[in-house]
Amino acid sequence: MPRYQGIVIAGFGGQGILSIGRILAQAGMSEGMNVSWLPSYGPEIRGGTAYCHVILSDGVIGSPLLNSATALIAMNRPSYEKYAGLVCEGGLVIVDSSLVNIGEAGEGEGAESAGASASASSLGAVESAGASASGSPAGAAGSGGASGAASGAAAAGLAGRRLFCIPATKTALDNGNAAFANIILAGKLLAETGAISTESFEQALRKVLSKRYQHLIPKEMEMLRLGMEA
Amino acid sequence: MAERLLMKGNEVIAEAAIRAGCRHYFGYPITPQTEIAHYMAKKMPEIGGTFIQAESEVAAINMVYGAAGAGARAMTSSSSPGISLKQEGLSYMACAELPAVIVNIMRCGPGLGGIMAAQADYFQAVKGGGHGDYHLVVLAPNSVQELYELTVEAFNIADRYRVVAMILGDGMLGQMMEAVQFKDSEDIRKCDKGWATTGTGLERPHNVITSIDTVPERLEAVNNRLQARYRDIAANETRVEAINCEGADIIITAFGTVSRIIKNVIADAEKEGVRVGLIRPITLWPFPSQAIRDYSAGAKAVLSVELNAGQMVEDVMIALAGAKPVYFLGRTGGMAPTQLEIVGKIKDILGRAS
Repeated sequence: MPRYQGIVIAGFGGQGILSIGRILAQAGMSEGMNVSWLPSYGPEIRGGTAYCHVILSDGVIGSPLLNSATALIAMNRPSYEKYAGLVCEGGLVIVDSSLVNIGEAGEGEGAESAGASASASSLGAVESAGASASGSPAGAAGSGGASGAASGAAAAGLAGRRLFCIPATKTALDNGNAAFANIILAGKLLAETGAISTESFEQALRKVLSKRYQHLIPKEMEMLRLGMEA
Repeated sequence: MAERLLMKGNEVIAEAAIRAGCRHYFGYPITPQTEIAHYMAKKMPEIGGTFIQAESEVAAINMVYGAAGAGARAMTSSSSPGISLKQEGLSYMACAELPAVIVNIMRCGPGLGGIMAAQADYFQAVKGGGHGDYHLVVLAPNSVQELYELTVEAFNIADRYRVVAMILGDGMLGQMMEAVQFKDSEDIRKCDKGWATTGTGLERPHNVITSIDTVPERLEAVNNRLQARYRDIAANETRVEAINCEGADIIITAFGTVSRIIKNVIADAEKEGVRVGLIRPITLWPFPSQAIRDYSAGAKAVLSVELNAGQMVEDVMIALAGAKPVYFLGRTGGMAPTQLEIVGKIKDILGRAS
């Protein structure tokens, strides 16, 4: 089976959206795949939505711009609302539940969200993702534990997609630095897709991080594993 | 071959220029190509080259004129509105027969427009752009690897024919990262530049580089010389990629980033039993007219897909001279057509054709 992942990562500028995408691309390349990394470079990056499209593929990559994604990592509410509809059936939606309240997103602006994934909402049962649903997403955000939650998926029009709500920012802060949130979420992506190995991820960190951040790599890897187990 | 590196398109352009022996870069920042200037600002001082952030785009192109006149490999880069400002300089360089490379990482216009990917400068790039009868050689890469290879080649072509060669890309290509593999050594085809103004050493007559000639007979001779050279370039340097054209129901013509979307469309259409061929002009000038005629011979129709309101499609129609029905699909303002949209258009056209 040829490997393929089309990943959208989105959030606020400053959350490490572009960096984590670049690390994934670097890791994919080191595993011999073709890769592309397309960033948002517009004014929206300042304070608004920053995103990148990352493709990892054994095949030739056509357009670097994704019409359909196998996975979304959403680190703020607008990103979730804008891109959840891009995720294909069976794809992953990984949300930083410390910052995005899916329950509310589903109820409050569900029409918009469901509209973006109109075909999704008619696809039947919600896949139950994660070992245990930890009650309301708001509860998950406050719980401090990195546990998955599938609740709210139906309301958000994500039937057929696997939704994971990970309180990544909260967990990152508990570990001393909010900047680890992107790595925690990437950990979940790796655990669920097997897109790349943790060894390749670590190698990519060495390549991509500047000298002054190299000392953080052991901690980053610890955070990655935390995300994988979340 | 060296290892594969993950690099941004814009940085690869700059690295390629340095590898091609360019030691003089003059620019003025503008999104989405500023990384070229960043890279040059960092690297040029390390290798004894010149980086100047000029006071304006007009100044930058005239600095290129000066460096090229002295026989150096020189480059400038900008994005659409900045390229408009450089047109006077490009026209002067065409007449003065100065080789150089210019990069246009297009944004969407008209006017100041937006910074997302567009291809609306096609006419400006291939039809002259400035005043007078002249052409740039226009190269349109569609991957980061090709940005590297064609930027090196642009310097070779410019030197060989004493013309300005343009790399025409867009924000998507300039901003994206992909794997690139640099060669261990570059194929740098340096030409004798006996015409350059490098000082006579009191041993030869003065070389004069100018674009002014008020004697009609002489200026016509200059024009004839330029046109003869353009014919040589058309004969020797036309480049095109053709994919899946044999037995295709419909041929799509597309260049640059859009051609990558078409590669996905080929696969999508195949699933629906439609064979789509792609003709991708790599040189937009000289335009691969003959290849378009040849590769589309068996198809029912030709569809040009572009990020503009219909520009290259005119050259496709000229090439085909009525031999095939020609259709157009374009998006503007920084929007790109989806695969679904393109497949829909194909089905619509083939429905009409049958």
